[in-house]
Amino acid sequence: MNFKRMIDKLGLLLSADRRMQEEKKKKLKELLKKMKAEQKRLKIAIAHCNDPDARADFELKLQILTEQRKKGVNLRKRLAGKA
Amino acid sequence: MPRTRLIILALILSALAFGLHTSAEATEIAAGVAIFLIGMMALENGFKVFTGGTLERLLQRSTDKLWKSLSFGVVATTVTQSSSLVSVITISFLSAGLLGLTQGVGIIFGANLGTTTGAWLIAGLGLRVNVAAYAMPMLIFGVVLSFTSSKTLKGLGNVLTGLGFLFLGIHYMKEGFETFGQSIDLAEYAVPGLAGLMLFTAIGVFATVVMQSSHATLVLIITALAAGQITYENALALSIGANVGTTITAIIGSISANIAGRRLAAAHLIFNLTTGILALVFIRQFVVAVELGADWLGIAPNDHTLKLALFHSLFNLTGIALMLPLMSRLVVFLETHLKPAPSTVSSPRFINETMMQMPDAGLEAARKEIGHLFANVFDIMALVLHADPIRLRKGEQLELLANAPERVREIDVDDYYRRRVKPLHADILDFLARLPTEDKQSRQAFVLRAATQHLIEALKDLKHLQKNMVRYLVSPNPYLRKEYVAIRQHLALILHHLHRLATGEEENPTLAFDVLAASMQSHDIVGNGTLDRLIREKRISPEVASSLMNDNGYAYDISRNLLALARTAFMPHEYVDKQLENALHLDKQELEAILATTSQAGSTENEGSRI
Repeated sequence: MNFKRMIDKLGLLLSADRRMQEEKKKKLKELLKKMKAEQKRLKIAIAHCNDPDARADFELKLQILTEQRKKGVNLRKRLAGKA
Repeated sequence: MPRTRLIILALILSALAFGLHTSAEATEIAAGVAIFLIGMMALENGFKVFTGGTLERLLQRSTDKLWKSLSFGVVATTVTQSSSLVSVITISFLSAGLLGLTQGVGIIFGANLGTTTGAWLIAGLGLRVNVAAYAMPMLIFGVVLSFTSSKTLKGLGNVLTGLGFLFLGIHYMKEGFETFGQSIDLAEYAVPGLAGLMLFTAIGVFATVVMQSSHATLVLIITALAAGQITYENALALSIGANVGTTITAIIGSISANIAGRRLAAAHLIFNLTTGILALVFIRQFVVAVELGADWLGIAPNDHTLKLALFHSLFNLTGIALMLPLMSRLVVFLETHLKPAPSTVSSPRFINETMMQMPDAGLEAARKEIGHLFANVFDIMALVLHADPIRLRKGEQLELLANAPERVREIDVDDYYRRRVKPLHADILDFLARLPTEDKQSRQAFVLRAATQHLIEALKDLKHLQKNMVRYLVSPNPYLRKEYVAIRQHLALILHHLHRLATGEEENPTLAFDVLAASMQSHDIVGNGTLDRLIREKRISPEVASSLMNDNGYAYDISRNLLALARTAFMPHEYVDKQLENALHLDKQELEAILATTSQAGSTENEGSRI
């Protein structure tokens, strides 16, 4: 471990804010990954759905999920910029 | 306070007053004990603040396996030097349903071993080093820090003050016994043999019950032993008694706890009684083992204080080694013989008095109790909506909700409310009002209280909605009937999805929540123009339209209140999770924009048939 990394790790250990920021980034990354998988699943469901009501439900869900993911991606960019 | 307890207290105080009046040395020793106990209290309070929930977080994360529970018990008690603090946190978490009985018992076993480190510290350091010299600066820095506004520094100040008082207490006890030894030799009153063993064990139990701290008893024993005021054999018996007597604290603590807390206290009693009996029966063998161990550790043959510490650790370790293989049987025994008192649907399941000392666990328990309150309201709402509560929870036959029910009947919501909701709601409000919260915790308590209010408002609105719903669900007018069926279906589906959110069945709660919020917006028939169309096309009379508009308002308010409840009580609430949820959550305008595009795309036809 080089000196810079060691200082970085020490800083992380001592700063509660930085620890929380790192946890936030990690959790957001996992969440975005899950959301992407859900988006794919919904797209497949829409493509194979013949019932118009169920299809509309899937589409609404997909749109909401897309918007939420967009916000998540923006947040990730902001967090990366802060670091 | 019961009369007998008052009499006992008066007797103890009189004996103490007589002792203090007749002997200056006794005053010094008793003052040492009192200062030591103040130190213990300050140390406990300091750790509660200083750890800022670290102990609780560790408890939740590191007790999934038995060895982890044991280690947690040992380490936490060694660091805090307070098995009472660890016991209280464990009982609170167990009562709140955040910890299983096996894990709880593991922690208590570990705490029993961890508490023996105190004897090592006092015998090894406390008597050899002039601790009073460290006590003064600790007290000064501790008090200065406890005046600061920072919570962490204040906690650190309390810990330092606590340690300062502990050291000062030890110093006074040591001094007292040394001076006492110059005038009277208590060791002359030593009782040898079995009688002495039993008598001093009983004295050890009594002293610990009175002081509510085995730690304080042990310090007293060690200082008396170091001053030669008691014999080594009698000191061993006293330490066995102290180990048994310490369970009294847990038993007193469990009186106000629920069944889980009482089971844990019983496990504590069984463990300490068993190890106590074991130590008494095999005292000779233990003494031989201590001699061998002392020799191996390089403890001087005449160093009885360290030998006492070794004996204390050894018999607790033996107890753990013997009880661990029987752990699962012990848990089954406790679960079979200690059964919960028959409770009604409106009695609290999670909140109880033990949590008053642990606000974080208390808030978590309150959140769970609100889930219980929601379950009770769910049943009433499902009945009003003519849906089977069990099937609605499971999501069975949801498609039938698209049709009007075969039979319609009015439910006495007030009666159900009085029997199933009001008593539990009152208990939650009382609990939250008395929970000693600070800063963030107070805000959380406020938000949880508001959540219960949302739930009650939703139920009251449903009561009003029911009046017209029972009439119009069977109306001969198909357009009117369709609107009331849609209201019923929409509310029933919201209930179903909220149940999934409450039980953690939703994989993506933020998505599920926003879909429900969008559904609430799309079902506003005033906002989406459906009501105007029905009046324009003369499908319903203006009088009926007025009722429908009011009932649509009730349905909207019910959904809004239920979603507000869910946002507080069922959504992720750990700080980082909550922040992410807030960041990703779509607001009303964003949802309306999405609904507008789906509406334009013509994909929102027959909204009544969906959530």
